[in-house]
Amino acid sequence: MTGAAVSGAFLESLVRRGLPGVAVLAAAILAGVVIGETPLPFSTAVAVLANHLWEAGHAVDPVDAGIIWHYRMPRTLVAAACGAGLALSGVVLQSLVRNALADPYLLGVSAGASTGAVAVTIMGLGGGLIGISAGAFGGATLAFLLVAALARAAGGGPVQLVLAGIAGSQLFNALTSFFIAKSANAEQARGIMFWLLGNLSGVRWPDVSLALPALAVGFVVCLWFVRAMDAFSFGAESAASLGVPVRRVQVVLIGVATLMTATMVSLVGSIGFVGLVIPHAMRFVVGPRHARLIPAVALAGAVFLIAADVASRLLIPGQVVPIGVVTALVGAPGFALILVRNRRRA
Amino acid sequence: MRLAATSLGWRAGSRAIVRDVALEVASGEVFGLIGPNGSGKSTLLRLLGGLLPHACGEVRLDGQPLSALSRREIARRIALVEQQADTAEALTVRDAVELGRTPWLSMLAPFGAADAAIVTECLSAVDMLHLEDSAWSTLSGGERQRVHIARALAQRPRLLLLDEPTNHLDIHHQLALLRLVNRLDVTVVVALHDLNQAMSCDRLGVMEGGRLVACGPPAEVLTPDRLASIFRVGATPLRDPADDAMLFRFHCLEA
Repeated sequence: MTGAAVSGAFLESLVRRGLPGVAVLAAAILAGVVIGETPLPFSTAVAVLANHLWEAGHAVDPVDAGIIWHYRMPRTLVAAACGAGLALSGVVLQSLVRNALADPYLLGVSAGASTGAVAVTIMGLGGGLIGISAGAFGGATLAFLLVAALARAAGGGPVQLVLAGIAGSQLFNALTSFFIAKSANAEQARGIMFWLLGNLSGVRWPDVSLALPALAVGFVVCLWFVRAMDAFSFGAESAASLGVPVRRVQVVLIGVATLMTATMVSLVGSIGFVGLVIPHAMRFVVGPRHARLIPAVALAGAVFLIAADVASRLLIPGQVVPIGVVTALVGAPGFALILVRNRRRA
Repeated sequence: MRLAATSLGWRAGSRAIVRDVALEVASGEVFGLIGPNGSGKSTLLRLLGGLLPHACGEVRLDGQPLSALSRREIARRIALVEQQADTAEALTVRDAVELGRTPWLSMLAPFGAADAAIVTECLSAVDMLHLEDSAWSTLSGGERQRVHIARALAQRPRLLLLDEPTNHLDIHHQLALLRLVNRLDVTVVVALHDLNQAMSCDRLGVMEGGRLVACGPPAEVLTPDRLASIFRVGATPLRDPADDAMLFRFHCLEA
């Protein structure tokens, strides 16, 4: 087969599979922009988007335009990036540690990111969006290393990893509370507690410029390593005998998973269960091979979190429920289902 | 592919698992590794495949040191079949064998028709083609072992390392596997427990306490004295009248 034929077939499959995905994502983003506390007609949303994207010049009420472009649009895009990023982090961790229950939330990575972000915010170690994200990355990396070392010291089994994750989460959540109690004033404390539960209401365009690049880097790296992740199916030694440079792949992939998780946590707080439930649901739909799983998980994660955000605005009229609460309400039963299915297989 | 190893060693903590092993295997030869449980056979196979960190000594393939090759280049030359490698992923038999093509694929060389043909050929070599769409979790131990061997063959290696490949197999598939291995146009190093099966290797190496204590043609290596001292069994050599092949009948030595 010639190179041209190969890339032709590749492009064709990309278009055939990619286009419906892009259409679903666009529909979800539109829904995220249209649905909310202030009901706005679909035509208004499209007009505002057209005005901003290609200067269409439609006449729109400036208040409506402001709600859509400065408030709902960045919020929806960040929700999509967070959903995709957290779900991809889940796939990476599940593949590399070969544990169905691995996910940034359960392994304490999110808790570590929260601690890092809060430490930077309160102690003023260098504020700003980048500073907070860097703090979150530091905390998340430290948390993962600690949990991995503890799991290894405890014998290295799948149960040990989950238990170590619980210990790590508890430790970092306690540290976060400690920092808040020690240094934050009452108003800061309330703001941080609300943010910790997952909160998209403060999201503006600068957050988008951090979330989308972090997701793009993570997505491209994951796509690059799809075959390596497949090769981990039978364990690290088997991956090595299939030609995978195990240590390098582990460092790079866990690095980008931590980067994505930390960025998303620093922007919207700690949102649980996306990294766990979305990958499992998608394995059910497209199978376990990562070449199909990675794009499917990114898409489903994005759509799921947009939907969760919309639900969080509608569940209680006049009030926004923290999005972490919505994902947990869906995710916890999903988690239970995975546990039961695993038991049946064992 | 010619394999040469010098002063190979590996320690787990303070305990030496393999000590100072030197070994040469000629191109196309089937070399059997035998020895009691815990004598270091599996570890030696991993050392030959360059899979263990902090190893002592050197392995050369056709004169080229393994340490000068990338993991991918090694995987194009050497395939390892481990004991009991399992997965919780919902892979099919064909998925699992396709993994064997990993070292030959890249972004610019994606999985193509030639790779699919190799996978089909390897599935049929181990008599698993009829189950190619079955889920891994539904396979028996012996079927899984045959899929692992097909995966290793799909790597198109020139050196095949097999860690007790006949475990879990029924007698028909044991004999079929050994015949397949003997017919392959590759160099094979195989750890075996069944000493009568080991008789079909070109040469045998005997491991004891991490050392290679004897090496040579089966009939020279497997003497009743050595079997008594290393394996702690009495052995009576018998001849099969059908083809005059030598085999052993074992009996317990009282302690």
